[in-house]
Amino acid sequence: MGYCDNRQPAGEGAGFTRRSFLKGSGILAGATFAAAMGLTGCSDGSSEADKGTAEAASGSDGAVIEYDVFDTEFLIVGSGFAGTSAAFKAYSMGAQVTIVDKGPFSFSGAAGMNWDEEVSWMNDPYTDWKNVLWNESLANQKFIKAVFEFTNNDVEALDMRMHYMRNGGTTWSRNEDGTWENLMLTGVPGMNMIQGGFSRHMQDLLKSQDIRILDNTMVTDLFVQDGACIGLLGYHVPTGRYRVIRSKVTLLAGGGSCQMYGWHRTHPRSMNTPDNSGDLEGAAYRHGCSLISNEFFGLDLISMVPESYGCSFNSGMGADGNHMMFVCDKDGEFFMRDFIGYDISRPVREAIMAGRGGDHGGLFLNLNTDIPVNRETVRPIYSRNIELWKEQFGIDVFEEGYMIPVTLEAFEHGQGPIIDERGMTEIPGLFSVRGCGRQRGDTTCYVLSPYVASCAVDYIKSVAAPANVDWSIAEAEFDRLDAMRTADNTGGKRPWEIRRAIQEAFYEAWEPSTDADKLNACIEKLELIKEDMAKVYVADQSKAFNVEWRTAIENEGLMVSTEAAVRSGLMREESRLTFFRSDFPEQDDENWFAWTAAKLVDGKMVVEKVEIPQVEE
Amino acid sequence: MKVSIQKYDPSVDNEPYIVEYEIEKTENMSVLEAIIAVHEKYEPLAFDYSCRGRMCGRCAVTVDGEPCMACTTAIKGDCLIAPLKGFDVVRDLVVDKESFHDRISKLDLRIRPTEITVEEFEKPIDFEEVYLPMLSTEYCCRCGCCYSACPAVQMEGARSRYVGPAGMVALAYRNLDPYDQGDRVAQAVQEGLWNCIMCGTCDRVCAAGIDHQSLWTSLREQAEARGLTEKPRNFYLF
Ligand SMILES: Cc1cc2nc3c(=O)[nH]c(=O)nc-3n(C[C@H](O)[C@H](O)[C@H](O)COP(=O)(O)OP(=O)(O)OC[C@H]3O[C@@H](n4cnc5c(N)ncnc54)[C@H](O)[C@@H]3O)c2cc1C
Ligand code: SF4
Ligand code: SF4
Ligand code: FES
Repeated sequence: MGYCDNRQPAGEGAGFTRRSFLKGSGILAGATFAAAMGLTGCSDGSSEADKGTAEAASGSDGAVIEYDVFDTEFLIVGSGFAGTSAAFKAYSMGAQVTIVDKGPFSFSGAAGMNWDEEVSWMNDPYTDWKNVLWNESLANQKFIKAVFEFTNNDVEALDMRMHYMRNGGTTWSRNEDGTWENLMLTGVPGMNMIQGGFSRHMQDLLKSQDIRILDNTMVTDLFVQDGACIGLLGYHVPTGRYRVIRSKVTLLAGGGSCQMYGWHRTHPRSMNTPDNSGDLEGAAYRHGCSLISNEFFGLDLISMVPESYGCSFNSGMGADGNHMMFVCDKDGEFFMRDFIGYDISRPVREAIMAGRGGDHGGLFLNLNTDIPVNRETVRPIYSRNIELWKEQFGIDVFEEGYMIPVTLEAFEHGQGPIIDERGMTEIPGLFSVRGCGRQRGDTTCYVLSPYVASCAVDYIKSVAAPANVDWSIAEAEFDRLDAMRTADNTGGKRPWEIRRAIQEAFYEAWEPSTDADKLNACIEKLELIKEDMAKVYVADQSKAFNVEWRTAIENEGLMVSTEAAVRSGLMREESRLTFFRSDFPEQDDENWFAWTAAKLVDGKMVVEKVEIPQVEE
Repeated sequence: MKVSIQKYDPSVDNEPYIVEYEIEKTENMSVLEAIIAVHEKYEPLAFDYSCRGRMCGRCAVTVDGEPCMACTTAIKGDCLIAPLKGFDVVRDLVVDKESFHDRISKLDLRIRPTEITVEEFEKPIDFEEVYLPMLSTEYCCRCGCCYSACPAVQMEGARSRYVGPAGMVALAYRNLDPYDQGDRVAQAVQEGLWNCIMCGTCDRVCAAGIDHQSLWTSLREQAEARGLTEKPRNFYLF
């Protein structure tokens, strides 16, 4: 069996340097979706979408690349929790908002998984801004304080329960008497926690507003001219048509990239979505932004069976910070029962390193104890899978002696381009919801995102349109993407092989603990993988929903995201939070109460230590 | 194991065709894993997935004609994997569900002119009659399996105005919702509550395990009590 039969003969695709471009208005593109779908490969540019606004003619080799242009005031990438919250805020302030998302809308990102979310909020107003739930030790304190001031310390507005309710969600977990179930297990006085939030309703609400949604649209680059961000570049996944989205201000909300976390049959050891592959971090980095919090992931335990479920949260069995009673080592000892805390990674890793783990490299859950399995002991999203496993694969978790293999998985990644106290990156006009130095993302992005959105809307007032838009910048990016799809690299590695190599190199170096030798070895491997990437063989030339091509493009961001984690980890000679180095097992505040920032200098990634902005008392 | 896959790239092919592949069956293998195996070992396929846990609905396909989630469905042996019927094919196993989703999203919006207060939320709700059925419908991921297989939607050679089981689930949810103030019964009737022939197909194919027929029965009782028992008229004149 050979590769896809739609490849053009060798040579034909290689003439990309002589391509020319045809620009059309994106406004019409939606209406002519069906027409666009019918185009084969590089089209002749005669589709309806381009009439009237077409500018260029075909080039000397006859190959023409078409693209559509959209314009908006406030542009957001990512329709997850962060992007949605930002959109609501910007829209309410009167901005024209466009959201771009790679996936089919309302089924993308973590939010598209629509699981039973767990949210927290405080009973009383905060007595001190430093204690806010969205603060973390390595976060930009000026930013955290500014967000606090933005919220007015309004307890009712910060009540996550009501936030979900008012945006369409309803159930929340209920006790049998019908009252809502407050899980006061957090150990933090005055803190409430509730489960059973479903994100779907919020996405439905977003769709009902006058907010333009360009879904199935993957952003591949920032549109940066004269040092300022004037929009985004990408393509429509189902048709392969290129898109320019111009804007006055742009906000990155592309989620946490965890795709480097190994591989387990169908997915990395991460419950997060394959859509979040570091594309935006990669693009920001290529344009000179420094990436921080690269070495910090949010980690949890999740089941590795059924193997083909690929460490999924929604069909898996996990143990969150508050559900440690079933976690045991290979001898069945329940050593985590007295553990209280959010971050479980340290004791788990120590147990594995002490040889108490299984062959799968992780620990176990044993549900055959005196403790009943019910809503209080196991999250409903997990217990509903007991039946599924049995029905599909005959796995009976209650079989005498059966222990469920679990592993540390990355549900989140802290990485983001450095932002200032307004949420703006080092590129004027480009804002980001990540990059304040928090080590993880979670639903507190409901609070951070509206703040950043409000600063970004204010910024619009000071922006003037560029005197001359330089379309050749966009065209160079589309040329690059097209070349990747059509280059004749027969014999080169396929995109998935490259991705697997990145995942394996990273995971081997990172879990269950890392050290200088492992990290250096990983860097060497990554350098070799980069050589393969330069001659990646995209074995599919179609423009229609080309998974092969998308994987190849995503690998570029993933490489940046991974290399930044590894190089930052190598620099940070201490252990803290979920970052654990066996050669420096202690936390060292004196030297490492700082950020490590990865930056592109003369074509190479360099990492430097950066001081965390503090508030002067 | 022999896995056949229906392939179709509308920008290149005249019509869909089927290709057979030989893959190795692994322990606890899902349909999704088989698709990935073909993609990696033989030739690129267009397929989609995200959650691997029947919560995003993106991976839904048919296996030997039966709609299912590729991610959580065990692959038993030789089979034919094809795209979900009743939708336009974008390419290979990927279909366009945009209008299907948009219609449900609209029905799901809560109708309520005033803000919900904390006091209102603090009031208990009926655990058995309201909370549990509502919770079960929350897990609907709008995969479209039920819609694709529902005989009342996909009538022979035609399609009815019936929104289909997934849309009706959204209406049943709002009908139960103690904070919703819309007339969801009238809306359900307008969307085709009486088109359903109570065949149970939706219950069978639903990976979320939703008990559709109980939801329909409750809506029908309320509709009947108000004398609302008609099917919606179709939009065309003749
Ligand atoms: C399974 C799971 C369970 C969790 N449970 C909880 C919980 O109970 N409570 C809690 O507080 N936190 C939880 N978390 C963490 C929390 O959900 C996430 O931190 C949160 O969803 C982050 O929101 P986000 O908007 O930044 O990212 P996401 O919701 O992931 O959204 C990012 C969006 O960006 C899009 N995107 C990415 N790249 C591109 C691109 N190149 N072009 C266009 N679009 C792009 C994606 O398609 C996606 O829609 C959980 C996370 C996961 C994965
Ligand atoms: S009701 Fe079930 S089968 Fe239908 S869309 Fe929802 S989850 Fe899918
Ligand atoms: S029970 Fe009704 S809604 Fe469900 S598949 Fe049959 S006809 Fe369709
Ligand atoms: S991948 Fe989400 S439902 Fe299958």
